[in-house]
Amino acid sequence: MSPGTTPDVVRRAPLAGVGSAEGARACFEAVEQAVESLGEDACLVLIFPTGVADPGEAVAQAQAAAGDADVAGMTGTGAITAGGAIANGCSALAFTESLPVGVGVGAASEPRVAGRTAAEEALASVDPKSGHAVLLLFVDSESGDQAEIVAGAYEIAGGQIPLAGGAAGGTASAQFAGGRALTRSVVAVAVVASAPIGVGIAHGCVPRGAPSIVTRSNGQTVLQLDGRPAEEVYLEKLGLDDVQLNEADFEAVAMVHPLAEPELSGDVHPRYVRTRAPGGGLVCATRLERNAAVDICDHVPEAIVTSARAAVGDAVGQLTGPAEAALLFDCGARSPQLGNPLAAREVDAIISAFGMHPPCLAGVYTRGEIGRSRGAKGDRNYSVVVVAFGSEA
Amino acid sequence: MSSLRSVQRLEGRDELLRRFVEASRRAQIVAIVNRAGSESELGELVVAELCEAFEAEVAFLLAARDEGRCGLVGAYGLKSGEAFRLVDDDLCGEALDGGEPKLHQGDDLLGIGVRNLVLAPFGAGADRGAVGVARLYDQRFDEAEVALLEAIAESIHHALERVRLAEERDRLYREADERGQAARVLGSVADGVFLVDSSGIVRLWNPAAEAITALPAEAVLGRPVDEAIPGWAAVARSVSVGNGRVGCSGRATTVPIEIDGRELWLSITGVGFAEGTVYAFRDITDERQLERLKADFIATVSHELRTPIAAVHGAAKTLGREDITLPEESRRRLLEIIAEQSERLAGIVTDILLASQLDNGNLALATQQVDAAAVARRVIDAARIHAPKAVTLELVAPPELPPVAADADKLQQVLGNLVGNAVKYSPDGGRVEVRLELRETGLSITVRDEGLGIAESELPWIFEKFYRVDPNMTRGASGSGLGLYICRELVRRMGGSIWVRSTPGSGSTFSVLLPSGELT
Repeated sequence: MSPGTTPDVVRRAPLAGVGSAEGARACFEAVEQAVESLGEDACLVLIFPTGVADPGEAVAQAQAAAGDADVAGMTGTGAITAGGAIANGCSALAFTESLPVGVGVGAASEPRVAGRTAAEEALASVDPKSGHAVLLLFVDSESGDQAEIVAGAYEIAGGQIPLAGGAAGGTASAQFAGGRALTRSVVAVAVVASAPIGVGIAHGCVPRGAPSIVTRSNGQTVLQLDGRPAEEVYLEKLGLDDVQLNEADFEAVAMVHPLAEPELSGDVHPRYVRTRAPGGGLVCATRLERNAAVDICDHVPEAIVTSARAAVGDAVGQLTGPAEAALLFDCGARSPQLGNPLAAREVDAIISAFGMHPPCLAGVYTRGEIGRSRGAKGDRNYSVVVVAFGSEA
Repeated sequence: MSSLRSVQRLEGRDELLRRFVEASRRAQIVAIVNRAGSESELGELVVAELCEAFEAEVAFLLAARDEGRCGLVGAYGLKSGEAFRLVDDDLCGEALDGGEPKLHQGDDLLGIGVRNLVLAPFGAGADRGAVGVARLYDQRFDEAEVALLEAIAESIHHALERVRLAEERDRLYREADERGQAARVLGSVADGVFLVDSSGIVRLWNPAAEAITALPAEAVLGRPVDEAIPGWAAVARSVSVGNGRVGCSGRATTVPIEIDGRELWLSITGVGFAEGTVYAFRDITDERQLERLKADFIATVSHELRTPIAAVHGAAKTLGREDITLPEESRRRLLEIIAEQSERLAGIVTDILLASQLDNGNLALATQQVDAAAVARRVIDAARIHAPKAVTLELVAPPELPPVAADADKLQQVLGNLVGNAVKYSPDGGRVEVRLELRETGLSITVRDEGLGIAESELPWIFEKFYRVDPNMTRGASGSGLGLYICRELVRRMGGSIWVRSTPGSGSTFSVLLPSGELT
């Protein structure tokens, strides 16, 4: 299947069915295909529309096609299908009704409370200990510190349940649950399967030079690096200290040069620099503590492709067999580095990483990713998060 | 994520870089724990950061509590039930005993699926604790991570000491503030309040207690209560002490306390608590005095009125009998009795009314220049009419005396009372002398008798209202208990003074000093 053509109905396994479509009725058609490909009633359909002007209309279409099944999901800057990325359409994944699922919504203004509430509600409907569970989180990038949302969900889910998801994108971004389009909300979806569920996370950011130290910060704003204004040090390390940058120029630079916290494991944890703050500060997507070491990174195309494969490998590696279904939450800043916002290179790398029998796959380009399989933290930037569902027994 | 890490791992970075990252993580955590304002906040902040620093799912902070128990300061990645089970876990208990950091591996450590656990103890004694980080996945903590956790544990220990000190300081300030407030309240209440600790030492003595007892705080505080409050040992047992629960306060008990010869009647109640007993008391001496006066008044009136009324009643009944014919002499005698006793009744009533006027301040004196010798002469002449023959009355006065400023009628009443008493308390007869002498400060009038005299112990009280000397000492002579009170009050109102000297068995001398007669 390729974007813009009538999609094939592919039945891969009784676990899930997938569908995708483009155009004005994309949500209806994608869900319809997903449910049809499932071959039985669905309990839950995840939708990832893109390019929609009216999220309410999108979810109404999806619900109409889903029947009694729950519909959840979020908009993206692009939708991902097994055939590639689409700019104006929808990808959908329908789960079989035998799969225990729960959906919760958190709408509190306090991000941590919203995350906690959504997770609590979603997990209340299932018994995570009866199988292998994953908690999907669909959030609004404008809802505050994403790390706080994840922390709230983690407080409820604990270390045994991996987290995956991301922040909605698109011109009219929204989250979906209960047949409604929501904003500034957290939608949590708990899925419990009898087969293992793997969550793989990777990014393509490579540190340059020696790390700096955050010597002054205030919440999400890094005020000083190495005792000097953060912006000055940041641009100096990028070799742009003599260049006058307007806001658009700066944001373009920041898009491909995140800050990153080095971890003891040797990995780094990229942090998106959203904009400049008055007085030479850098406003990041999440808070950075004083005394934190930070690398200034390059978003490297080759590393992006390699990391996509690595994320799939990591997720599938947690299974006992091949993946039967997969969800993909991919940072919207990655593909542009590969030439265009919907670059096929990364999706091709992902599909090929699944091997000879790619799973039912639906995904979305996000404005911030959520992925936790180890440790307690799960807010990500510049990352691809792959959720692989193993074969049901 | 091994394949991923092979891409992102900082392969070109050497051990130095890792140490840099470790130092940064530690510094971050130190900055975070130093921000904490309380133990609970510290616990909440640090465990989340530990999870991030060590890529662990669970982190927790334990600290020794009273009686060596293990207490949970903070936990991350655990549900509340799971977190509180940590305090009973053997591994955690062992870590709290101190020693080196320990690594543990298993399939289900702590009962929550932990596969790798490192516990780093810190501190000693009551300040000991342990910090733990745990991974649910199969990756051991390496030596550097253990060393880092040990160093962080040390920082946490210092931070805990700091916040505990700060909390203790805040608690002390708060308590001092509360004590200050309590002291201000105790300082402003009218009731006396004092605290006796469990050792019997007075620890608090409020200003009202000082004012009521005239015992200054410095003389009472820090001393055993039995020594500090005279007579306390004798009354303490009778004071009711409640247990402080609502509705279980002690009932007020009235007890006498004598301080420097001054008798105080206190209404007192106590409340016991863990550290001692708080007593609250109020001075009811005046009320007690009033009660006593009322009782004395009733006793006096009933006694003093009953006798003449009975005499009048008896004489009148006898005169009214139709079954007998009384001789004229008897009838005359009975009528005299009625007249005398009526006069006595009138005198008692007059005294009571006069005493009441004096009490209320309603008595108006007609002060004028008075010839005191003439007044004294009239009094003696009147007294001679009824005085026993064994009593001789004599006026001694210089031939020329300047006038005194006085109310002539009231002066006559004063001298009449004094001379009457002198006659009444001279049952064996004797000389009653009224002497007038001019002194620098005024005119001195003394009434001296050779009668029974007054016991020394009674001298301070005989001018008090309703005070009557011991009847056993007066050989049956009695009075209303108002005469000398009226004398004192009248003399005071005329600007003079009155006092007495007496020797039991030898007689008494009452002295009045009146100002000279210059009218202002």
